[in-house]
Amino acid sequence: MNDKTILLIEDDLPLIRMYQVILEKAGFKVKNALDGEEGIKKINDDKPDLVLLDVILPKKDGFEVLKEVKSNQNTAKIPIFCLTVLHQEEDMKRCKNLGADDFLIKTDVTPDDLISKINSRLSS
Amino acid sequence: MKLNLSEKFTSLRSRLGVIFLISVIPPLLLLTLSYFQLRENEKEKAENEALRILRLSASNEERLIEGARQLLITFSKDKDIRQGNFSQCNENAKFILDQFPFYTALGVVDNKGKIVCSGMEFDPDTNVSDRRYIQQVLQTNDFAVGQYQIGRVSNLPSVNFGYPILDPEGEVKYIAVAGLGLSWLSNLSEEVEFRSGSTLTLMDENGRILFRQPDNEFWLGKSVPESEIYQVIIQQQSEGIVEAKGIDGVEKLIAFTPLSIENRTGTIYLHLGLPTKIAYQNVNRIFLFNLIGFVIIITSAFVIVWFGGYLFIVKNIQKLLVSVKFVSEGNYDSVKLDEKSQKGEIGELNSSFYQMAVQLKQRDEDQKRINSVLKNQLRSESELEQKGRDFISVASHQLLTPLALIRGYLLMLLSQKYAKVDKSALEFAQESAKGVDRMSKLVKDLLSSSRIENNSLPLKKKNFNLTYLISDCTKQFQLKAKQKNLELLYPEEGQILVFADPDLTAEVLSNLVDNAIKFTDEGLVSIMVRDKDDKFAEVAVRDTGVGIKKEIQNKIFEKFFFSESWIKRERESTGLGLYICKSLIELMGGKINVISAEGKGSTFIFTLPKAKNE
Repeated sequence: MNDKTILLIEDDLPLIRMYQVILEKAGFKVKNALDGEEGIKKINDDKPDLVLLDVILPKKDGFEVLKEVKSNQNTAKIPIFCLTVLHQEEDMKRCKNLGADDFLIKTDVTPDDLISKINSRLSS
Repeated sequence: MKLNLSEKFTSLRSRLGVIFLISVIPPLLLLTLSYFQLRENEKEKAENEALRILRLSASNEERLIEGARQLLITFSKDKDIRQGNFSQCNENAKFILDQFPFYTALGVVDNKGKIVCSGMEFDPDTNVSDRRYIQQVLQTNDFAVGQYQIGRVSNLPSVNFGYPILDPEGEVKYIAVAGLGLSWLSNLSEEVEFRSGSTLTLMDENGRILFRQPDNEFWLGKSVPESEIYQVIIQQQSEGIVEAKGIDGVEKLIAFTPLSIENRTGTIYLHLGLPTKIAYQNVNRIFLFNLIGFVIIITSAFVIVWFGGYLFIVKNIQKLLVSVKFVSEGNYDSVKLDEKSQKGEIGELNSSFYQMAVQLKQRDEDQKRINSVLKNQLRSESELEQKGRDFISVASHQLLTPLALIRGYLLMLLSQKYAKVDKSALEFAQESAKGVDRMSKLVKDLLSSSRIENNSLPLKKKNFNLTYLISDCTKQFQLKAKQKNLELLYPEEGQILVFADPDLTAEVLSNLVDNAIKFTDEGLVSIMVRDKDDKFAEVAVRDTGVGIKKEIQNKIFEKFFFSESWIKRERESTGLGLYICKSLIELMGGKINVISAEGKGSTFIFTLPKAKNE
């Protein structure tokens, strides 16, 4: 058990529930936001330990959120993992250039992979 | 100069004007020429007339002098004179003088110069022996003509004549004398019609004026040896005509002639002058009249040309010009020209231009329509492309998201951490996960091929070392190969530089290696790379697997191709893998093909353009 908080920015509610189960099982506190604007607000307000950010989002997409968060000194150090359903080099590169700490493909990643990546990131 | 001129008169109208003015020059020249000809004629006419008058005068004088001789001869025969009856002589002379008013004197002098008989009152002491004509008579015993002189008594110019009356011994006893005045000249000028302004002048060889018509009283007796006309006359000494200043200083056309009579001492000169102004008055008037007429005609013609030219030529041209501008701006509907064919060049120009404008308009409209259609097509194409891309992306996202959900939960079941699962449920979940993976792959392949087909695949070519890419990419399959007990051979060192998109190349290579492993049960899968020639590098993926039948070797790169053996063997194929590989390789400028025989493995070979030297 740990008291780390993870913010999940994802517009698909069933997925949110699923990730919530996985993350809470691993002992994380999970908060969620349904769109980019809400996500930014919650990052600023709650200062989560790590953010799982879907790239395709309403209002503000993941790239914009990433840009804003990483260019804000108060939030720049919060690790962000980008999530996408597709293995697309272009999106991956764009995320990396914008300062994303990792890139996960929802259809490839396993629950164990997810948890181990988060843990290794948070413990480093 | 010419250039300047044509630059100055640029408008059509002013050019017409210039042409007109130039065309006026010849008639103007002609007019002037005819003026000078008329003037010459007039001069000749005046000259002839003057000469005629002068000659008439000269012959008149001769006649008069001859008359005087006759008179004196007759008079001298009078017996009263011979008998010395001078009182009767006086009566006779007086009678004769009354009859012939031209004579200023008639009488007799003795050989001592004493007047013995006279038609007029006379001083008996008067002696005329000093007169040259008296002396001449005494010397020659013949008729003598004196010089013109201003009479001492009458103060009138006159010429005297003497005729000897001889005694029986042949000596001169008396001399009959007569004086002739110049009233005949006055008469002459009354008889002959002089042109008004004409002057008739008689002068002696010293330039003394004996007669002058008009203003005789003023001029009489005056000497004008310094006048231009006198100089001319004295020099020439014969009949002639000259344009010179008269004695009054007026510029005149002057005809002159000396009047020389036999037996006369000294010469007198008669000249008739006509002021040039008057001489050419008529000609000048005619010329002026013609000139005014000409100017009026020319002016009205010019006005006609100016306005007519505007009305018939310039206006049309301007209209045409406006139309040309409209056409050049593409404003065809503002072209207002008659479409009917008109006569004449301008008419034809107008109608031709109209036709041209109509055709241009048609063409322009066609072009516009084509353009708009094209644009619409393009727009819809690009929109479609955009939409298509969005649609594909969105659709893929929408399809993949629930798959991710299903897969996630299945994996959660399989991990057995999140729920209690019995053995057969675990097995079912495992099979379900396979289906989900296949579905994911299908969606991804569909997305790729759609992007390839509508050219929305971002292609980022650059130079890179193909060897490193092969080794990096193939390493990932080591585990998979090991699981099937296959040997995986690939180059780890080397320098084969190509110019292509490394991500897409990796995708192709992965696909080929994945297939090779999939279809090989024992043996090896090897990847080789080499410089094929100057332009291409070549990669070969060889396996010792099932191989491909000859008949289908050409078909395996087609979309949604499923081979029997593949279907038997694997249900994982999407039917798109090799199609995507071929498309990507061709997109990067290379080629792909396969060498295979059934049961003897396959070798997939693709080429890529070599790196460009920078």
